[in-house]
Amino acid sequence: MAWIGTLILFVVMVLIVVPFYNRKLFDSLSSLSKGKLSRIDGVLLWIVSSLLFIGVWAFFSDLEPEGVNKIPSPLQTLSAGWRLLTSGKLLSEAMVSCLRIVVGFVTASLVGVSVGLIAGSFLIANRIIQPINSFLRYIPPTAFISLLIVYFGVGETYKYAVIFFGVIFFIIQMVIDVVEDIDRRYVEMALTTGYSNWRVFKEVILPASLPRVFDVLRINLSASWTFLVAAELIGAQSGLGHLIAMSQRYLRIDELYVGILSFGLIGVITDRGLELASRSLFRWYYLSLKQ
Amino acid sequence: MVLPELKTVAMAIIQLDNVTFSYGENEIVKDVSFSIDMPQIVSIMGPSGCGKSTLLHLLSGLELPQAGKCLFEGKILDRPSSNLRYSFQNFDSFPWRTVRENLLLGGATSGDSQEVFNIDELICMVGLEGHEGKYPSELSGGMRKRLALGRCLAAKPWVILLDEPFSSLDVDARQEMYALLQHLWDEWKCVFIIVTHDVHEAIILSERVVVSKPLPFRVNDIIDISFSYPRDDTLINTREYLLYASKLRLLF
Repeated sequence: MAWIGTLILFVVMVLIVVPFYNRKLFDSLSSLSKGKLSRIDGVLLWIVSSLLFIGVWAFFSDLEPEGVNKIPSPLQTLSAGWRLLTSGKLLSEAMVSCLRIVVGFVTASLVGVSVGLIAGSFLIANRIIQPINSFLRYIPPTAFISLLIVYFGVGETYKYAVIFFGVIFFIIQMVIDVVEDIDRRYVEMALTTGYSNWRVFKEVILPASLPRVFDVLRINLSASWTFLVAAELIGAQSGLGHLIAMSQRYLRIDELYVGILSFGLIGVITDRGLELASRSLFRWYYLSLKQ
Repeated sequence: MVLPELKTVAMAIIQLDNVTFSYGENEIVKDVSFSIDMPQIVSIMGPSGCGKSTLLHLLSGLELPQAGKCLFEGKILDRPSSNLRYSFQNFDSFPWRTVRENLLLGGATSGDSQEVFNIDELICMVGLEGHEGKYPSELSGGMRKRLALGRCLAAKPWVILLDEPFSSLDVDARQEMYALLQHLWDEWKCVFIIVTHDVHEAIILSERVVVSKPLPFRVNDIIDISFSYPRDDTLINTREYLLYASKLRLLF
C-alpha cells in the first residue's frame, strides 16, 4: 500500500503551500532570495525537504510486493541501521572508510593544492604542468584501478592510491582555475607596493585563493567517496563499500540501503563541517560576497 | 633617501618624454611629454577610454613605453617603485586584510632604509580610528577611500597615483575626501596624480590639469589652477572658477 508515502507527500504539500502562500517566495529568483529567509522558514524548508525525500521513498517502497526487488521502507531501513549501529558494525566499517578517505584525500589535497597554486601562479610551471595534467585528467580514474592492483595489490595502499589518483588531477586543474581567476589588479596593487614575486604569491595569491580552494576541496571530497567505493568493492575485507558488497551477496537489501545512505549522511556532516570551517576561517570572503 | 628635503626642493620628480604605448595594433598613448614638479597635485582628464588609466600604468612602472622615456627621480622607470604608490579605481585594498593589516602592508617597502608612517598616527591622519579591526567590505564607500589613501601614504612615498578615486562617492563624502586629500598633502608634501572625469574635482584639488584628446592619449593642453590651498566649494561662486571650468569643458 502506497498510502504512507502518499500521506507524507500530502503533508509536504500542505507544509509548502500554507506558510509561503502569501510570501511570493516562488516568484523570486533563488539567487536573489538566498540568505533572506528567516530562521523559522529555513528550518521549515529543511523539514519539507527531508519529508519530501522520505515521502517519495515510502511511496515507491510500497509499490512493490514483498520480495528481493522490494525497496525497503524508510522504517525498515532505520531498523536495520539501528541493528548495525548497536552491533558496532556500522561504526567500525565507517571508521575504516573514513580513515582511507583521510589518508587518500588529504595526501591528494596537499599535493594537488601545492601543484595547482604553483602552476596557477608561475608561467613556466604552468606551461610544464598543465599539458600533463590535462592529459591525465581525461583518463577516467577508474581506468587506473587495474594498474594500481598490479603495483600495490589489493591492500590498504591500493585503496589510498585509488582515491589519490581519482581526485588529484581535478584538484590541480580546479586550483589553477581559481588562481587564474584572481583579479590581476590585486597583483598589480602588490607590485606597486614594492612586493617581490615571492611576497605577491604569499601575501596576495595565497590568501585570495584559499576560500575557493576550500570549495574545490569540498567538491573533491565528495568525489573521493566514489573512488573509495570503487576500491572497496574489490578485495576489501572492511569498510562501507565492503558492507554494501556483502549485503548484496547475501541479499540483505535493508542493510545495503543502510550502507548506501551512510555515505550520504557522512557526506552531509563533513560538508557542513567544512562549510562552517570555511565561514569561520574566511569571514572576509563571505562578507565581500554579500556586497 | 632623505625625504624631509623633498618638502623644500622643487624638482621634476616625474618626466615623460615622447612616451608612446600600444596594445598590439591599438595605439593607447601617443607622443606624450610633460613633467611634474615636487610637491604638486596634478589631475589628468580626458574623454572616457582615452587612455588615462594606461598612462597611470606607465607612470607606475607596471607597463613600459614602446617609445620615449618615463623618468622618475631622473632615472628611467622600468619597474614599480616603493616611492610611487598606486590606488586602482575599484581595487583600493586587500579584502582579506583588516584595516590595520592593509595599512601595515601599505607600509611594506623594498628597502629597509625607507621611512614609514607610524601605524596609529596614520590611522588618525586618515580618520579611521575605531575601524582598525574591520575588513574593507565592512566599511562605507568613504571609509574605504580613506583606507586607500592611508595605504598609499603608509610608506611615505613621493608620488601617489589615484585612478578615479572618488567616482563612487556621493556629494557629501566627496567633499570630505577633498578636504582629507588636501590635509594629507599639506602634511606630507608629495605628488598626487589623480585621474578624474570631474571638472569640479580637478579644479578643487589640483595645481595643474593635463587634458587629453580622445584615444590615443595625447596632451591637448595643460592648465595651471592658481587658487591657494585649502580649497573648498565656496570657490564655485568665483569668476576664476567659472573660467577654469568652461575652459576645461571646452577642451574635452
